[in-house]
Amino acid sequence: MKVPKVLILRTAGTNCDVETATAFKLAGGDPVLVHVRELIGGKVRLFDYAVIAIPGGFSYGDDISAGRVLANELRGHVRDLRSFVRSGRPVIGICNGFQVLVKAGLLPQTPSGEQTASLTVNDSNRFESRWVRLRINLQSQSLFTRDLPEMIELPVAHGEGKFVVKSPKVLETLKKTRAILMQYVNEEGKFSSYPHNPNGSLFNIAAITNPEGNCLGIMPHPERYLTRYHHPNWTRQTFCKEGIGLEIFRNAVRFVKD
Amino acid sequence: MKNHGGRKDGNGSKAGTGIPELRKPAAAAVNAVLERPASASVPGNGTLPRHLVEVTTKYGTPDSTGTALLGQLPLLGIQTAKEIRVSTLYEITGKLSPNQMQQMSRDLLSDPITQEYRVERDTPSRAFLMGPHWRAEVWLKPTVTDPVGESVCKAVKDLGLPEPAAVRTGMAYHIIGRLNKAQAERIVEKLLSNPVIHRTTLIQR
Amino acid sequence: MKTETPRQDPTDAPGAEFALRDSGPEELGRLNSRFGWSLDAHELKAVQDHFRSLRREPTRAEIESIAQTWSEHCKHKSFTSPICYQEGKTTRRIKNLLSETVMEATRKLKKPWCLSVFEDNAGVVAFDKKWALAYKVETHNHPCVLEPYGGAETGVGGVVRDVLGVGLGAKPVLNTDVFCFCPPDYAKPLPEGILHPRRTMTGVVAGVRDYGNRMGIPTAAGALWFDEAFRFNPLVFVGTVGLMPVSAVRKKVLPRDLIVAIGGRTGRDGIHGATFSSAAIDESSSIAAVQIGHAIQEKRVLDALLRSRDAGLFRAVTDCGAGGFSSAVGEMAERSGSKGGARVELDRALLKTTDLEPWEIWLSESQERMVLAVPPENLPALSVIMEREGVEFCVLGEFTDSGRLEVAIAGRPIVDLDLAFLHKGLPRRERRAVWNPPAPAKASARKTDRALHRSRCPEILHWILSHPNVCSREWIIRQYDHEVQAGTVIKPLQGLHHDGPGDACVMWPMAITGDPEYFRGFAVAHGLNPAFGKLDPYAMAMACVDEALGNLACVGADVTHAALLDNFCWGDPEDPAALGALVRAAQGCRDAALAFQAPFISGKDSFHNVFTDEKGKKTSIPGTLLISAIAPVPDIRQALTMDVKAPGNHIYLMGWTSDELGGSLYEAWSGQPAGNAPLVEPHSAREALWSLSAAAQKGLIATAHNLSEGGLAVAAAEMAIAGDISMHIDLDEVLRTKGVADPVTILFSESPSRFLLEIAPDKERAFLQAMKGVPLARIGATIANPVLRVTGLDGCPIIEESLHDLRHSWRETLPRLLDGVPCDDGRRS
Repeated sequence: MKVPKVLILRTAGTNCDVETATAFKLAGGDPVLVHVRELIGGKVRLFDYAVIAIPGGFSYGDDISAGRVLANELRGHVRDLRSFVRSGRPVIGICNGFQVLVKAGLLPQTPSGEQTASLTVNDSNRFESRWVRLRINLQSQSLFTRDLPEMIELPVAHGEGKFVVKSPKVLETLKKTRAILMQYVNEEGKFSSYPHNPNGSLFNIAAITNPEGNCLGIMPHPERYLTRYHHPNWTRQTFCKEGIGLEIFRNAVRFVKD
Repeated sequence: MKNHGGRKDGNGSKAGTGIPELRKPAAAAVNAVLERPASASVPGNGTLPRHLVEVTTKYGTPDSTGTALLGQLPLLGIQTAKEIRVSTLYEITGKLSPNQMQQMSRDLLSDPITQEYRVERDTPSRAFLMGPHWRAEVWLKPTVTDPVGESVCKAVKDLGLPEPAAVRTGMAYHIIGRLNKAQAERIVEKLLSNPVIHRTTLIQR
Repeated sequence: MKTETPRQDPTDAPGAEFALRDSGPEELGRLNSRFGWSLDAHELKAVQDHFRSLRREPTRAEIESIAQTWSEHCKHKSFTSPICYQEGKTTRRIKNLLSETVMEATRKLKKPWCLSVFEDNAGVVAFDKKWALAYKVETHNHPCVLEPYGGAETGVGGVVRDVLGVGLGAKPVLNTDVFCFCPPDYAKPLPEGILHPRRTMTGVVAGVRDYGNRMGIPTAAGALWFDEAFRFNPLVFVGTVGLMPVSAVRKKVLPRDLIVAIGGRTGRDGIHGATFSSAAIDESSSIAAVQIGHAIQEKRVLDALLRSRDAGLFRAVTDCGAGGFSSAVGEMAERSGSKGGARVELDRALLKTTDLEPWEIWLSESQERMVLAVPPENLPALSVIMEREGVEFCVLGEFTDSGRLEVAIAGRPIVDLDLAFLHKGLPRRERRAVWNPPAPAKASARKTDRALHRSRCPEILHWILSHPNVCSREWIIRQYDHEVQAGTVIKPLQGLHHDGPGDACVMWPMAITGDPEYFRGFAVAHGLNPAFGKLDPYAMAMACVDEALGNLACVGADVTHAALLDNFCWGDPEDPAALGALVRAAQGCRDAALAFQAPFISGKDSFHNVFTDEKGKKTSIPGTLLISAIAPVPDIRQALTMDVKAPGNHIYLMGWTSDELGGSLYEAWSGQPAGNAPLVEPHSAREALWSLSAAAQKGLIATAHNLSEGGLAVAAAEMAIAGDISMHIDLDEVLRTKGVADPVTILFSESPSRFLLEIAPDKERAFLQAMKGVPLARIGATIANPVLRVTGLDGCPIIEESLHDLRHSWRETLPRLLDGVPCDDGRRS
């Protein structure tokens, strides 16, 4: 069977590109690191790829606000991206990639493509690097979370991850379209405040998808949990989990192969 | 907006004389000439217009940077401040029309969901209306490289707008509460700035 | 330009305003202080003699080049010049302290896996057959005094560039940070211009955070020390580990290779950084050395550089650090051909501002720049990569074999120096060093104290746990992205709730090697204890090496292949007592390295950490040595953490406990001198350590934790807090040397080479088999009840403290000191 080509978008300040590529490779894909200049210059065509991933990092330093400059570049010069999402192929934005998707108006998905949500400075006003518990919305259409358990753990590492919306209506639509994919919870699986919700996100939102389920924006880093040895508790005698983050990438590759 | 750019090193010692009107910081020109990217060093550049953009969190949304700073004040022995609101300042040198400034502020410098902005004489929105407060502006000295300013230059060009000759960034802190001048100066000096790299202004309004 | 014949006509030379040749010593001294060269009288004389022999006057660019090349920062002259050393009644001469101590150990040990030591920008050791690890630790103390955030940022930027500039460039995979500050709640008045320690600390942490996070390098190992003696001169150590193919370890430069500068533009930033770091801080310190970092610029350089390396486009690379182009080009020029040489046309440099003097362009220390030696035919391919990555570059000139460093601007020569004079002309001057051991404390007084303190053990334990030198570092660590690159398999915070203090971090560079079935990794740890150094710098050096290697063993690293780095931060080298202490410490390094068979591969020193106030009163830091250690972890699946794993396991204490409370936290609590600093018995310690390391790698040990500050009591509490499972220990079972007969000493002594181990019952037999000959005692067991229980020599309980309370004491300190709020992390046991 053909190995699906995965475009890993990078630019100045992208820094999770290598491990995201590793994740797709382990998942059975063929990742290619592509600089955004190659896309803008027309050297690389989006539709030659089966999956697009926008990895984490600090694109252009996040100097103005996280993801803003890359989002503007994509909005202005990579117009294919919207039709790529519409074509139903998998698109995943992780951490900074999520910020980019939101600020480019791709998530939450709206007909006009306007930005209706944002990821802003953590309530703690600090960069937060910690493992969090997430509850997955099993009703969601997301192709990325197929067959995943309801509760998973992943690490977060960001300074601007607080999900906020323009108006309550946006949140209602997200709920109605089952677009809220993951929420921060505590050990008992209940909503809880800091540090379980590490950034103060509205409705504890950690990840959202488009209603069709092929475009995922996620603050935590699944590419940092590829094997059991990435989990902070793997040395404990009772620990028996495998790298659940890898499943998210496997689902994307499997979807394309089918 | 008032920018006391003329006083190079003022760490608030002569502050408090400003009138809160919006105008271009003409005096800052003297400083900015000291350092400018080579590309901008064409004759007559000193007369390029300067624009000021101020970006702050939307009215009614919490300002986590301000809240964190407020938490630090008791450590300085100051208990009477009620709130700190922070905004980011951009001083943009270049030939840009009012429309272009609006576009830049809207599409690049601010976030439509969480922030508001104003460009020079723009009508202040609610976020910029505060009760009596001290306003401290902290700018990098002209001799210190401003990496954020450099990024903004490139990003403006990327929007399809004329690339500014220079962009300098600063912060404005609005300290709300019952404070005397000495206390406000103390906050600026001990918490918000370092005279080695910053020039500051402090006004009460 | 043709410059085979040196210019003879002094009128040719711009800047001939220095009438150096006819100046008297006083005039030379005046020029020196006016222009900030930081040269001493002998050095000025040597420069004068040189230009007298050339029968011309120097240009400003030439003197500045010489001053920075000969600076303490670049030449380590205090450490390498002759010393007349007096210890007690004996006096001996040391020709070159560095070569006779730290480097001698490496020479004698002759480890084949040391691939490049003390010659390049970082030390390089083999990781496996294909990959090598480069490690460098730098200090950036002086800039952090003036502007903590910018100073820390540019410190990280500098050490990352060191690793990018080793061999043909290594990919940074780990950052380390070690700080020595004044306590943040310091309340006494400070002189004008000295920032409050709280600002220094928060600024430095923010700088390390923002630069490391933006560069995408995990900051996962570090240490922290507080002492009021650091109030004027905080210490900021930053380190970077890089991974590179073994084939990229060596660099060479051929004549005719192009000198290509890449990265940031050159501006008037940080002029005189190198000479500034040779000068003591006073109340009127120059501010020209302060800069703000631009991490994304450096990330672009990193991306472009490593891609060019993999395409084989350049032959050598080095970073633009202190001294800027003059130092980078000067260093690389030495490697070119048989005589070395370089020819530079400064007009080609890309500038931030147009109003720079030629010497400023040549000396500027603008950040985020690297210099490459590029074969001319590769330039087109290089420019393609640079353009794609958004990195500006310029061809400054070419390397030659003329033996000269030639620089011109607009066709006008501004530097024409003999490389041999530049690099070898520094006159060596003998300094005097004296060491007088302090008198030991009286034993009788100590005994009565300890008997009185017996009932206060719980109180002492809480006090030590909340002491800034012991307390949780979570406030700092959570701000660092310590898991980017997805390789941090043993994290800095460990245990059930991810809050226990790890001994070391273990990195598994799987994302780079690309093979998830290949489980080789590496570990990094530190040893630092200025309190021991105040008593005996020799003991401090031994203890630091012991601690760093012990930390590595605790995570399952192979300490038989451990390599060390030294960083000395000292006071005034002209002060015989300070220099004497340095000699002691350096000797300790050598003896420890030889005994533990762990070679030093790189090091750095920072002198003049002295503050002079208005009245001329000097305050020096205590001589501080940081030992950083790196070792391979043959199989990361056998790596260990320090949290108690399960109830019902055995607790073993390895090593002997002696009455060694000098410099300890107990001493700090009691406020009375408590005796001598702990002294490592290195040979038996090495054997025990190697056994421990082997047993850990075999998977026989469930948990290992190194005993350091606070001794047995603190180690037990930390393990229990991290695992949320407690232990019961019986002090009567502890192996102790003669005369140790009270619980206070056993609980709080900081005797070195001791480890607290948790052993599952089914592994106990094999464990004991593997540890034959090692001093070892079973002192207790893990228990489900969340209460730390300790029984004294008489069998009566002396500590019964709930883990909840211990955790609170341990965690609340930094949030309280830095945010002014109590610990608000929701978790409670």
